[in-house]
Amino acid sequence: MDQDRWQRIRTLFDSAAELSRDQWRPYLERACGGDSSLAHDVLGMLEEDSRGSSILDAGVEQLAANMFRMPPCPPFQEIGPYRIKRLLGEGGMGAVFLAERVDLGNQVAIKVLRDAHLSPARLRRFAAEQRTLAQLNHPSIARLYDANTHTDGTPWFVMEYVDGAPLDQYCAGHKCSIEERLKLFRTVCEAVDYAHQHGVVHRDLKPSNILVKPDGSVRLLDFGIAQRHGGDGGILDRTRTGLRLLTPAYAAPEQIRGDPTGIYTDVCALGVILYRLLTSRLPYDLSSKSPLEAAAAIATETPKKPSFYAETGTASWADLDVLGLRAMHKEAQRRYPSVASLIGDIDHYLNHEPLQARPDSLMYKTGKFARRNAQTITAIALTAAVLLFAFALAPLLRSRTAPRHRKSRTVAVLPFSKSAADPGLDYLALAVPEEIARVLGYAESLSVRSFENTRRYADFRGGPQEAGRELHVGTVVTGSYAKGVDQLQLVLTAMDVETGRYFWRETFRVPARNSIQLQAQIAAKTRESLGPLLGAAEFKESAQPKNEAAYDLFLRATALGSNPPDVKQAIQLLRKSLDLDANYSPAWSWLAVHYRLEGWYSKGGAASLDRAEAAAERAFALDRNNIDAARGLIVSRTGRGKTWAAYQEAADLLKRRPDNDQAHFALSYVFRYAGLLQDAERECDAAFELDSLDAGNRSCGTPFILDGKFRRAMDFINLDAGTDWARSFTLENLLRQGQGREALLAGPKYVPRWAAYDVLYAALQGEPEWKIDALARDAQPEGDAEANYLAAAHLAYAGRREAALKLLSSAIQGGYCSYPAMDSDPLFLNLRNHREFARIRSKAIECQRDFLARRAQ
Amino acid sequence: MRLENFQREDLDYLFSVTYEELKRLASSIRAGSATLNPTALVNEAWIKLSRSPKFSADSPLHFKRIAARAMRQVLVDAARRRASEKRAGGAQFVIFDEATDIAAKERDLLGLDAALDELAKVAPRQAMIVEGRFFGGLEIQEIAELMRLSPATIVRDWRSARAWLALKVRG
Repeated sequence: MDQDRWQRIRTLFDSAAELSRDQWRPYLERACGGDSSLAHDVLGMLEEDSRGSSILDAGVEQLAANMFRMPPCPPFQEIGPYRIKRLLGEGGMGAVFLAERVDLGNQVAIKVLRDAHLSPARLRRFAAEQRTLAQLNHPSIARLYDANTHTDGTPWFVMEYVDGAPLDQYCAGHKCSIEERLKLFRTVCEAVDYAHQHGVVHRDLKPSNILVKPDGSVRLLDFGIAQRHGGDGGILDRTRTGLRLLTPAYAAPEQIRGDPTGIYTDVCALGVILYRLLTSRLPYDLSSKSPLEAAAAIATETPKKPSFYAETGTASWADLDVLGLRAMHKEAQRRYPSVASLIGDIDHYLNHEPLQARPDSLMYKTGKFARRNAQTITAIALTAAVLLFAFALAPLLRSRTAPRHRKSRTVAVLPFSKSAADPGLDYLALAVPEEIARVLGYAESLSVRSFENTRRYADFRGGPQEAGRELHVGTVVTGSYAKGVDQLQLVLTAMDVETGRYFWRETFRVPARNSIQLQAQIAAKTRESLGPLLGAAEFKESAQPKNEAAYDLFLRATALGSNPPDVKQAIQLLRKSLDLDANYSPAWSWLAVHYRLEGWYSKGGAASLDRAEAAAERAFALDRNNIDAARGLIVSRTGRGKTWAAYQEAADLLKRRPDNDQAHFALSYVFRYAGLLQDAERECDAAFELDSLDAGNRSCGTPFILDGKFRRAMDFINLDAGTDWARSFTLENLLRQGQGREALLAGPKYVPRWAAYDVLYAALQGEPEWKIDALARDAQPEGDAEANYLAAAHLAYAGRREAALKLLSSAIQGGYCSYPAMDSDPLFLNLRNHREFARIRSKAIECQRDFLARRAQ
Repeated sequence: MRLENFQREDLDYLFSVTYEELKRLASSIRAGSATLNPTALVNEAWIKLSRSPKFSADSPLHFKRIAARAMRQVLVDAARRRASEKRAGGAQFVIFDEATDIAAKERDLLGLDAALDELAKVAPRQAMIVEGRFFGGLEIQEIAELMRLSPATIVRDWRSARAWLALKVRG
């Protein structure tokens, strides 16, 4: 059918439909002029039209009913070159079959995911990720040989066939001692840690996924399958009920709630596994519970200490309690920060040394010490006792009181619940708490979690108390709004996280569409009513919006995200806002943020970074107390080579706000560009200590990568796990460990704009030289000095000396004085003997010397 | 944010996410006796997805338009999958009556999908109206608003498109 014919059909149909049934045929015979097939078609349409019983009239419900009913498994007998022999097991996610490779005759296990058709985008990701997993090459991880999708879209995985017993059954069957169990468990931990170092999180660890072969060796199964099946850490991860796919008994509270997961999720599962190995039971008795009750138990119940179930023996159950409970702590923050640190404590236990995990207590430490040095200790015990007491008590008291004191002064403001009746006002759910957080930020005695960090708690299922616990704060502030006829009603509340009690509630109304009055009320209530309750009597002078329309535009901009189209729109809104009111510091501050994002991740380049710097200068000049503005200014100046000016502000900021993680981060940022890697690391550690969840500190991974501290670098990179940013820095990390192939697989599929990545990828994939040369010609210096350094390293690695030197030179000229990085960075190995390299290096030394000299004055 | 300002990858992403969400919602109710109500599903998907800052600024109408497309895809994929499983002999345990009933629906659905594709070639606007109304549960008024046309025009478009598609599917 072509367009003309359709036009004719339509015209005829439209006209004839106005006529009565007996007139159809005469009309069409006349109008169609002998085209009988045309008349026939239109007549058929008219019949359908009058009948009204077609598939389109029945509604899609009818059509779709039962469409999703699944036939029994397995749907096929052959998959690729493998023939299925028998069913090995079936679970919630799918079934595992023993299969044989038709041509080679060797046995493999094939896992088929049930009910998992994939969207096109998911399919592409699936293909990329399975290659990553195939690269996990560790003696205790079952090899993934192959993965693909069946013609109907069902994903399948071919894995090493492991003939072994599940970890817990093996231990029970062999009547393993506690020590033997711990050693097996340690092997499991090592394998998990290996995967984490490659940026892969398991997310579904449980004894049935951990098999012990008759020779006692261990194999972990299903690495990354849960992750792949579950999603990319984006929206879906949060909306899907975790229980459908997981084995609830070993799930972490954050999985139950559908919150973001990470390496801490695996740490928790390991804790539960350890609990099971030590006690032969699960921490929560879920056997008689409904799924909902089970979820509640995991999220809220406190398990009994493993020692409760202990049989008599030689084990130090107090330590085993700490090991198990610390690993599976409900608050991700309080768990072992990495599997490596859990291994560390297992080793401490096995060597009868004190554990890292427990805060030092006098009795505990001396007790351990005594066992190791039983003979010598008695001799000096009496004389030492007084001294020990004097030394040990002071830090003990400090560590007990200081955090509590600080914690009561830490506040997180959570997104408001949206009002379903007014979708047009949805931006208020983010904009109002943003404003409260900003106002609270002006009280120097308070430590307020950056709203960038807390905004992911929108519609958080765990409620404010749980959110507060996760964020490690003493107080959470949140609220709601509702629109009346011509008024907006706001309710603001504050809750004490420890007791779960609301201690503050304010309700007020402002005229609708009067955002200036809205802001004034919010600021006044926060300062005058909430402030004193939090012990913050004094607030620094803060910026006031003056123009109604300008402030409204500002609020809308703050509710936007950080992907390129949002950034573009936010810049437009903020510029409009600033045209109307150029004296509102927060608007400049946000403009700086978005220009910086444009400069880094869109096509903005140096021009955007200059605009960002100018905006940050304005924001800071208008309001020196705005911590976001200060951080933004420091980052902007540093990136534009004004290291010294940035340092002055950073040092001043830290003096004013020593308890703020952003202040430490800002200083570390300056040190990093100044090439003072250890100083940068120290400030990063301090920032991490103050807030170990702030994704804003992610780029702290860089000094550690450049200093060869790859493991620590992952702690920071994983703050933003699951994003392309984290993938690209996992790549940087692996590349410098000589794992080019793994780096290629761990890196993001596509890196927009950065030509140096294309060169690197081409080199890693063994593309022909002429192609790499062509790509290298596109690698031009960008606006940011560190970006140029990293690009130069890529080019050097790809053997493109000229291009590498050019970029390196512009990095150093741009104020990146990191000659220590140049010296230790393995990617520059082939460039170090080059004369130009030596010249650039001396420039970098000069650059750093300059900085140090000014600092010494 | 207006739909026109979306970049292509955003649209792809939105489509993908919506597809997954609808798929999830659809399969989560399949065990129960409830029938699949597209309007309710699309609304539920929207409520969930609109919490993401990425989409929160987008209007529900634009979302519904994309959701309609995703819904169509979800259903067509399910039908194709069933058809291919049957060829592989996997569905032998389904009761006979039910099997013929579903088989007829599969045929209808795949037929409608193909006919819609054909219509889209000669009358894209009409195809879009059918997709939005049938698969996404959009009201005439909503479609009119989205396309900036009068409701009367939409009704006329819908009527001839429906008649032609019905004829095609039955044929």
